[in-house]
Amino acid sequence: MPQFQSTKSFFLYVPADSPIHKLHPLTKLVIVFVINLISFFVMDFYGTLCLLALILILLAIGKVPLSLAKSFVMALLGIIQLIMISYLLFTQIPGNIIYFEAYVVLLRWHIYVSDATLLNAFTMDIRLVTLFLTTTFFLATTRDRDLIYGLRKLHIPYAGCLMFSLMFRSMSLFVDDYYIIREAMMSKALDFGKGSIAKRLRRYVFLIIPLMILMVKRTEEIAYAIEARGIPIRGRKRAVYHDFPLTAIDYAVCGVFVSFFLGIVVGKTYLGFNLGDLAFGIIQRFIDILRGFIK
Amino acid sequence: MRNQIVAENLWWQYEGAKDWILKGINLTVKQGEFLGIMGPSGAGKTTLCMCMNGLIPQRARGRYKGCVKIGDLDTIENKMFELAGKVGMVFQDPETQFVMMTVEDEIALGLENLALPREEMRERVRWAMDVVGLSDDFLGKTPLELSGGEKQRIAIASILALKPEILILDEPTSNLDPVGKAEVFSTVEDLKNKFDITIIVVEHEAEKLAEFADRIIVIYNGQIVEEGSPREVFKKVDTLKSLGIRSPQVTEFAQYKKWDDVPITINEAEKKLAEMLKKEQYRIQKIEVKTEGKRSREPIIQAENLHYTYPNGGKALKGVSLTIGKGDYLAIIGPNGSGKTTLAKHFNGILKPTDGKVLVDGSDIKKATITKLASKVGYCFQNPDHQLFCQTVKDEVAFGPLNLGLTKEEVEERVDKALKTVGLEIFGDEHPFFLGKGQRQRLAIASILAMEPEVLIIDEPTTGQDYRMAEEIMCLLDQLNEKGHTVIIITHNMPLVCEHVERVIVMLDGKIIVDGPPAEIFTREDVLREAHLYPPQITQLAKKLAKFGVPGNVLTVEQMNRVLS
Repeated sequence: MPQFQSTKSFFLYVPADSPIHKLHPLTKLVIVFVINLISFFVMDFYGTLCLLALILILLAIGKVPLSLAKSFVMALLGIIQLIMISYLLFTQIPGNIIYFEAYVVLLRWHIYVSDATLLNAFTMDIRLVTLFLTTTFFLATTRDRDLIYGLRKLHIPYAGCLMFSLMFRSMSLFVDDYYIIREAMMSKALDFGKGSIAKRLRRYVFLIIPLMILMVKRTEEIAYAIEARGIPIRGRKRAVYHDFPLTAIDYAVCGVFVSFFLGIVVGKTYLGFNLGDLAFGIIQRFIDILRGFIK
Repeated sequence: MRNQIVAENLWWQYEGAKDWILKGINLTVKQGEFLGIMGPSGAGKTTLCMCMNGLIPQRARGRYKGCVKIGDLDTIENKMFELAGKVGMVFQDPETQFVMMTVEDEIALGLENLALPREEMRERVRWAMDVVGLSDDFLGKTPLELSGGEKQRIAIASILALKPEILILDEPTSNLDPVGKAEVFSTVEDLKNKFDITIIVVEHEAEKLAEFADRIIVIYNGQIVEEGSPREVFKKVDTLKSLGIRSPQVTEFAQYKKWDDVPITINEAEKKLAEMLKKEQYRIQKIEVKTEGKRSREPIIQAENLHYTYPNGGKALKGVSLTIGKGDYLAIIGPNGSGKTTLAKHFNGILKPTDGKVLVDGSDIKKATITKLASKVGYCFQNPDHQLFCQTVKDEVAFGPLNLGLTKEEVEERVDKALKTVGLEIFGDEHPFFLGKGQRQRLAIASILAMEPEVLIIDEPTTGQDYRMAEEIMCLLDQLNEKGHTVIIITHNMPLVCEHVERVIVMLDGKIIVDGPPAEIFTREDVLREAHLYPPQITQLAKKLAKFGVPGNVLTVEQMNRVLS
């Protein structure tokens, strides 16, 4: 077995002794779900900033090192640039004009950049970062098996949970296979770092054949191993080995987050309340106080 | 004792296969019996096991004739989960049968299907862990944290927890290192002694079956060709050999000496020989054991203070220095995780040293290109499935030479030559996928040979191969070595090491602990104990007879025969 694979969990899991780690996986799912949902209702700059602050606080409580996020920072930067550029080129959001240029190229296209355009683009970027961090938060504090416990607590049918579990198992086998095959190809004088992009891509096509063959073989073996232990796919009463009790703290945390969500939705639809306005107000007050202090 | 398994005139043909794989098997297994199944690869051993828990004919696709009764259940009429309560089956690969994310869930998986109360499930999990000798600390571990032997014991535990009446183990140790093998066999021994459970084991190692089994059947080409007590079966040494099966070494020795009552275990042989030596029926000859092979002084691979750390921080090599001469024939041995494969992967540049230096034919591997190194040092991986990517056998062998940039004529010439060397020339246009396992292994070797490397590294050339195939592959390597190739094998198979190679490197915990000829290594008790190595049975026997003056450096049955004359 290759040893580069001794990650203890397939996810980004970082073992730590934090209150977050002690929460029931279902509670963490609720937190992630709520933050994602809220981001649909909070569109403005200050509101988004609030959500970002919230997830940063959660990450800090969970003792998750931010360096964990560095693996997808590059991909993220690309997307951020893309959002910026598309906002600058293709939107016309009314506001104080910063730059304007009219083009007539078949279509009547003109570039119109206002302060509102920039603010919107920036808000969009922050939302994206927030969502990425939320996922990181979940994966870093939850083991893959905990996710399955969480799913079972939600009464997801057994076949579904088993499927998830098998998926994680086969992913780690798949990664192992991938590396071994690559090394085997290198032993046959195939240099992965050389040649044009088209050539490089073709080499990866070669990889697929043994990967598929191994996968088909394994699938059969795994299926046999499961059936040999008397696992009917459906239709029989099963017992549940684990008891996954939700503690009072879990209920409390879920309660706080769900009411936070409801507060925002109800506030926004009926009371004209907006998280962003509140945050803006608070920041203004803070600046005022600071000014007064300086004077 | 009542009959627990009755198979009558059993036939099976896999869908798409040309021939029946089982051809009229009749077999009765009694309650509490320990049955050993032997036979060459492809004889139908696994298929027969699958007939006993209903996988055949209920899941696998193909043609079926005959009937199998498990107690009062029928493998056609009763559902798989009913059969699973009675017949538990442990498979060969510890990796693919571990399906959950923790040990505890793995064992509980089957129990949940029995719809037992939670308290009883807990009790059974603990009981099963206890039987296989693993502490409760293991319950929370993931499969990635376990060794092969531990995984296989957990596979056994997860079956035992269901309290089956019959336990079938299909080559449970063939993917394990010596430590794992010993762990699993001691578990099996415990089961046999403590519980009234019927056990069926498919196994290549005759020495182990001779100790445990009540009865042995030999399957060849889909039929039972030999049946009887281990003594009755193993004493037909030559017949078994022609079927691709090896008897225990002590039995082979008795055959040489033409004894009437043959020993089958090491203790029997020791007792008998001790008596004979006391009566001075044999004189002890000194034999010359090669302490220095035909090692040339010209180095081909040199490693200096080699360190390697995996990206995740695992230190695999901690300062390895060695010189391999041109034409050396050497084996790297040691437990799993000791760094054998990591070391070998430096020789053809798949891995680059974290610290230290590796020189191949005088040039540093850090500076050499993959193409250049691959043409000098060929590396053959353990599992042929990882290294065959082409549509025909010929293309497969041509793959490497084409990457070296040879002309079409040269490539064709090399392909023909390589295929002839491994005896696969008639399969040139077949798809590699349709070859048998031993043939695929030889194809993998041919695809490396075609690049005509000076050094040939083969990782586990004989795992999961029957005796005859292993012998064929080793003979091929012998020939290549005679032609001047440097041959390096990584293996757990000690008799093989003793019979073929001239130099052994023992690795432990990322370091080389001994380097020398096999005769020297296997007499060093401290090394053997430290590295969990088990010398061949005949060597163990020689050591037990040391008080009579039998030299401890006897490595093969043939040598033992010469020593006692």
